[in-house]
Amino acid sequence: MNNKTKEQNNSSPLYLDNLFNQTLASISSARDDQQRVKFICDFIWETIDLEEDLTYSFYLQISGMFFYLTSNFWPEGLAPDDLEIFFETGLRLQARLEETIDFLLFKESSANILLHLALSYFYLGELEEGWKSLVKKNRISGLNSFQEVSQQTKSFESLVAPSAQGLKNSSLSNLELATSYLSRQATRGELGSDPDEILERWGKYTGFSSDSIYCCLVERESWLQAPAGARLSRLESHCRPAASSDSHNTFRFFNASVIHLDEINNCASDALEAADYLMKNFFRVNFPPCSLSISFAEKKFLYGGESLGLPLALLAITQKLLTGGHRFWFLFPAETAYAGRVDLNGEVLRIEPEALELKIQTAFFSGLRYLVIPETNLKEGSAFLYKLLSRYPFRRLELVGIKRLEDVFVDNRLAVKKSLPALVWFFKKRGLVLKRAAGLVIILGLVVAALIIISRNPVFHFWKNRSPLLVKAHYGSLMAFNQENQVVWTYKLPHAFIPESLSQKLIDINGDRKDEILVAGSYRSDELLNSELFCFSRSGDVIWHYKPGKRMKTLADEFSNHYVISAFEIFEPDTNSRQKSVLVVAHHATWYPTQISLLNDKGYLTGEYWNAGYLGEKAIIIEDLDNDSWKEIILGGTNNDFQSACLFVLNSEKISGCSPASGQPEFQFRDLPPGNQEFYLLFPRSTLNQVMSLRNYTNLIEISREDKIIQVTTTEYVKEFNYEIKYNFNYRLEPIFSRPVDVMTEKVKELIVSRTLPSHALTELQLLKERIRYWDGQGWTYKPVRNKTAD
Amino acid sequence: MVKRRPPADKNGLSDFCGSLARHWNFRSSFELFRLNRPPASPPQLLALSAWPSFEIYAEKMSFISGDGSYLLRVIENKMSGNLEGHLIHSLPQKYQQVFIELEGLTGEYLTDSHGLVNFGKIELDTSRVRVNLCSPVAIFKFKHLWSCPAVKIYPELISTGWEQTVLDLEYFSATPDQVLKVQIGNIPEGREIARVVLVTNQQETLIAVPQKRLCLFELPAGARDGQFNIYE
Repeated sequence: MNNKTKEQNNSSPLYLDNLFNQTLASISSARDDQQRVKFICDFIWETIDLEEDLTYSFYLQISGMFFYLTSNFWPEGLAPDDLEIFFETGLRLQARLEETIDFLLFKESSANILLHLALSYFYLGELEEGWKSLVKKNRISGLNSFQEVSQQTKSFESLVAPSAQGLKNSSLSNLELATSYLSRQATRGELGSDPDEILERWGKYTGFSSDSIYCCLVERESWLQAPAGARLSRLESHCRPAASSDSHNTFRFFNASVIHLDEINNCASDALEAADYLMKNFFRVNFPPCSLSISFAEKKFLYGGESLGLPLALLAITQKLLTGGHRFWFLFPAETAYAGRVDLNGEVLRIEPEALELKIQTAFFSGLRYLVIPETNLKEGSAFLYKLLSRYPFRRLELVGIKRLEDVFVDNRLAVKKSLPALVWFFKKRGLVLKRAAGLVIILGLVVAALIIISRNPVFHFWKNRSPLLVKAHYGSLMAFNQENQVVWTYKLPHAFIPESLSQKLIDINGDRKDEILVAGSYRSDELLNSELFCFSRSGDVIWHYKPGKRMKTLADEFSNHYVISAFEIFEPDTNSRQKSVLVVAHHATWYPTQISLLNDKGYLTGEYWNAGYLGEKAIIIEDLDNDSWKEIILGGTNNDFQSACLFVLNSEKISGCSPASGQPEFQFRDLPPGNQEFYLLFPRSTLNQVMSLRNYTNLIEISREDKIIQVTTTEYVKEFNYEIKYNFNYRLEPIFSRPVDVMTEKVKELIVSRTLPSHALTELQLLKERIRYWDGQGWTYKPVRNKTAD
Repeated sequence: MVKRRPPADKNGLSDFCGSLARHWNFRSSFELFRLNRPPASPPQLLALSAWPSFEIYAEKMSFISGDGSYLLRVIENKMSGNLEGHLIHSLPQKYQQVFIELEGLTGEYLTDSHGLVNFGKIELDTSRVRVNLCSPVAIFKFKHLWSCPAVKIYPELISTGWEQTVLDLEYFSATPDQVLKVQIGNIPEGREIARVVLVTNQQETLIAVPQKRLCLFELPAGARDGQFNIYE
């Protein structure tokens, strides 16, 4: 009778309405989706036996929420039985309301529940059941209509999973068991990509972290604060040094429940003190105060209790070690969760048995491998665990009891010590000091290097008189000296100059009102001599350089490119212009050709003339002989072709060609036009010269501008004295007289007396001017004529 | 207050016109009272959690009878905008084929065999709406009656005072349509029948307003079994 009354009451519309509204109220205050789903299932299973018409509108209304939640939720710590009920509820709802339920939503919901059901079974080592759940999931995912669902669910009864008994009896962990079993089944193709997804979701319980740690905490609800269930939550923490060294440790708990804020703050404060105590007394390290920020990974977590102390203290220790830049720190494995109270001295204190049971239950149905609890709770904890193991014997969860905080750090299962190599740590720790020291050393090095460079390079000697006056060759360099005989600059030559060969002129060649230095010299070499002319700026930069000569060919011979500069002059060729030119006289190092080069102020060759014989170093005069504003260059020397002294006049406006040739092949230059010299004179050889010497030569040319006379001196014979003849010419190169020097007259007389010379050797001396030959452009004549081809 | 819109479909139009013609004249009807609580709807309860709207069927309002035995839940289909009434009672005969009046709206609604009624797209003034119900006073069930041209049937589920009521059925099959003539007899003194409802075995429902206790039904083809409900 009583039962009947109760049944009637249960089917009363008002009772149903109240029950439904209570369910919705519970859902609204539920802590997470899995609890919401649980409330929905409770309602449905409480009313499932009633007339369908009575419950239809309620189921219709609540089914949308059920399928929405179950298709998205991520249940954790649930026993497989609960998930089986969720799945069955979904099937019941679809059977009753199939016209109003979205089939795709139903499939998503079933797939999600079954995936988590499989995961839950794999956590527990129930490999065959996990396999069955995955097969069910795949089969339901392949359906197209509700009609097929009932047929398919009937076939679930006959599913037979591949045996895993041998595997389950091994000593592998649950993760290893699942990995091994799923890898064997993956080849069969029935499970699709689900094994990967299972292992990926299990991934949250693998790896190590220094800034987060799993803690198993009990949530409390309602005003009575009754334990509502345990939850596995990831506690995260980051530490940074405190603003000032004399301040205290500070922390901030970001998403702590407002109701339990005081309790949590006290717990966190104790945990930090315990961490400091441990570091000081166990690790023997002292760190300055720091600021710790703490938060739960899950936003809605109404935690209030003291078993947060142990994980918080552990996390604070490793975060402080990291922040303090210590050589070692700790990583906490994600397969381990921690729960326990700690006192200020780091002792781990007992927790309430009711809470312990919930924690063990939650850890049991998760992917954890170790649960760290106070040692004083270990006995009763083991009893709870055995109770669960009697149902699921293949779950490999280990309870680890600890007395003190430091027990965690000596057990590799619970914390992994990570340390930097000594050298790396030293550099990291002393990085700033080392950086500063290195910077200082670099700066000092730079200063020393700069001083060395400055001391070695006179260019940087800013305190000196910068105007060079003299250049000297010093080993492989040219050194410029100022008035105080200080080195102003140096120039590194490609090869060393012979110091004696050095000739130089200081002149403003390019009109910049600053003197340039022209230096010519011959390179010291074991080969034939070679010369080069350099034009330096005042500061020692090379403006240009010129290497005279070239490979010359005659009809019979070829001369190498080795030329020695015997003289160079800077002059203004046009008296109406300030532009300067450089005249370079260079003779072959061995043989007779001499090159007369004319360069402009930039060092470019503007003309050249070749003479078949050496020219005297002092036999150079530059003068405007014909008043046409262009200066003439008067040069004297010897002509090997005609075996006598010579003198020739070049027009500085344009010089080209070569000296006249006699027709002997060895004196006829190839590829050269006839010379455009204005005059070419050959001096007669005296009898003394013919008898005593090879050939005469012009060794000196002087000029008297006042008298407009050019005086030419030829050397006829050289012994203890120079036996010379002096010729005077006017500016038209007409000979005025020829006269031997006194020593020569005396010598000739002496040699006549000794019958070495004939008697006319004396009388001819006055008549030598009559025997001077002039080149008229076509041939030789004794009349003073200008070269007709000069123009 | 209720505002009723004409149905958009053609089939619903005749019912609509018929309901407009009929006037709520039930003597044995009773009023349902509004349940004074917020609608039991998850979005309202879970408003703070900012969930996306997944609720297709939401409770608009609920009404309860004075003795608490009847509960009428008005559910809104958010997809179509239609309102549905779900009449609940612990006994099936109490919610099946029950006339419902939404006061202010001309016409009446009849629940189906599951206690459901489709109100269509109506605008309910939730603060002023009133609901009346009228359940049958007697139910007459029959099986394979058409083999005899005339037969008497007696009530199976009866309200107090209606025990003697009897239905005289006369079947005419000569005409192109099968016609059933129903004569109601032995009605308690001073009482009158407001509606007769025929529910066939094919879940088809025919409503008749008797004139001088007599009414005619055009039977649908194949209708063999069913029941008559009479309403005072």
